[in-house]
Amino acid sequence: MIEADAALYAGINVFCITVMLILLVSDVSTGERSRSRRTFRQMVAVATVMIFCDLYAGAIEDDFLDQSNSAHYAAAMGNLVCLATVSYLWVRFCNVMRHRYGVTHPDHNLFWEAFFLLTVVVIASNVFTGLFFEIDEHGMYTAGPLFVVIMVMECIPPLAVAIGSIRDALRAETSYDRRGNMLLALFAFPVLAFGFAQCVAFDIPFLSMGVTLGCLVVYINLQMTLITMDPLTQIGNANRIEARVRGAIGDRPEPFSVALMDIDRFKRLNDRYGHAEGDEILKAVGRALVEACGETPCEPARYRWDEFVVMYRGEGIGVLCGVMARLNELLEEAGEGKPYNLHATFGITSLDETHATYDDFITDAYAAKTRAKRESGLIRGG
Amino acid sequence: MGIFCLMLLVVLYGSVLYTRDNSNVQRMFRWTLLASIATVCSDILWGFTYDGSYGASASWAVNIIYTVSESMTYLLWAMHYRASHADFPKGRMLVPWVLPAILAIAMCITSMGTGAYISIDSSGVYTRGPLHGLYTLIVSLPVIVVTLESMWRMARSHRRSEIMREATLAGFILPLVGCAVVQILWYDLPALAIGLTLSLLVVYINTQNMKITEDPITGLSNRFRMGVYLESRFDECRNWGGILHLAVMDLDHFTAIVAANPPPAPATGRSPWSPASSRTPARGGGAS
Repeated sequence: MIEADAALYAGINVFCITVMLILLVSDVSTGERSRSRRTFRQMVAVATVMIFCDLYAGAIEDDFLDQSNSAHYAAAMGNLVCLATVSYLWVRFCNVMRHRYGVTHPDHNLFWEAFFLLTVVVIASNVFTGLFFEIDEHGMYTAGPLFVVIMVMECIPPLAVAIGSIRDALRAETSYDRRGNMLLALFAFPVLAFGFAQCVAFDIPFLSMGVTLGCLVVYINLQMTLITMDPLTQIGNANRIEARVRGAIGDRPEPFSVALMDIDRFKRLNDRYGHAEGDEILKAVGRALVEACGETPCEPARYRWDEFVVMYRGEGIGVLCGVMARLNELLEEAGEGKPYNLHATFGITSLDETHATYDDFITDAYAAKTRAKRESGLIRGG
Repeated sequence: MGIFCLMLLVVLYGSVLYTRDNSNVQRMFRWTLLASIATVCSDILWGFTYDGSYGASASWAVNIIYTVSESMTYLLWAMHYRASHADFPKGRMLVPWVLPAILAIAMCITSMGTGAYISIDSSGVYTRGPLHGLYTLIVSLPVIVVTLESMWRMARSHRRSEIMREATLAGFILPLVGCAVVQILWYDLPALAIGLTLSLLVVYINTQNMKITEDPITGLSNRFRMGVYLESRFDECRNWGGILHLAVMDLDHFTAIVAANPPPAPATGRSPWSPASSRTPARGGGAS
């Protein structure tokens, strides 16, 4: 058994609480109120309470605080209940996120709610049975004969969701969905690994560290999604395009091409049929782009307004031409039954040694698109 | 504790790397994270050597590595500040930033003979020298100068995005100062590692929040921020009464202006290629 200084135990827990509070405050300050963010915030808040209970219980056991055994017992119970709640909220959060990543199977939320309630009842039953843990007359916490049962019950939800996320990632049709599902599985592993370590060496607050690390990884992923994702079309945005292009410039001489496109006469459609219809058109274009890219290594993104980009890392432009041709077929289908036709005009640019900066590359891409539009008579002049 | 700080810093570094953003600002921030990882690693090693467990040579080696990495962390942080400001005057790095870093490293190395900054006896036990406080001030000078300059810019700025950015850069020093005080009083605690980790975490999170709410071209708030702001103002008006005014504008004939003023013709050697048909791709640049 690893011995740890009592102050170290408290110090690590205080540090974890500080990090969790930083996450919570900054998440609240973004003001986002989507279901996934609200669930995440609840999870972080409960996890912070869990770590506080662990800190409080540890302080009593190490004689930092002169409290009764009842207070110690309540803190230990609070720790277990909060951990069960964190597991349950994590399942709810994952179920919301997985819909964003193309998962359509049922969430089984009722099942997990029932499982959570069962776990809480089992923990509460310790008051009468003492099977899971005890606080002896010296104020020392000792694990009971069935302590492992509680630990297994609390591990089951995140483990099941992690396995499900990996399965969904393997079945995903696009790289975006694959990556999203794999990232969801990431949270479970530090928590489970550190939780196991705490069972082996319970003098170090490994579980607090694991939960903090897991929440940080998830939070960073959520922020990066907000930074790089267009909220209307749910594909990449200008930040994503800039990061990819800058990355490609840094990775020269690896081949990289983009197709910059816009919707023909979109402003006229927007003005004539209203902004709500304009937004629906943009969403339809986003969906069509994702379908057109399909299993190809192309990545679609929205640059601004009705301008979209398809980025391709590979030799030649044949793949891009195929994607754009497929896109126009899909847009034609999307326009059926509507009082307007949808069509995209595009220009393709490949990265070469003359593109020193991101601005150079985008300027060239615009030149190609403008030339295509002029050739097709959509714009005059030049 | 030091190992946990290291894990958090590695997570931050991995996420910054994952964005594949090669802008100057992000490169400097990545280097700052790397240097701080080196600082925390050397701080962890210091915890094993300060009591002479591994001899005087090991103790000196760890202290020198620690000093070098700490100096580089603060210098790179200052360079990150410079990269964040396009109007930063060239040549204004030497005295407030580079010289203190060189001086701090020189103090550590010369301490091997003088014991002015730190003293390590023949068995490897570490004690502070009489000039340890001066060393702390010198090595922190880049961060202090950056903080003062950020506060000055913050006071002069009127735009919310600029004020937020400068406040983030100025706030870097706060956890460091708090933890540095703790480290001075109890130097066997890895307080500096904790302070550095918290500072970088707050800077990273605030920077991400600003990217979420800021339009990259104009620097004004973007559609996301507008949505969040309007939603909360609607709720306020609904719950507490009040009037909300909204002005929506666009630039007249903007699309026509952009179409009539295409980007400049590409340089010699690059010719945009476009076939006669309007429905086939046009291409600019590249060999193929």
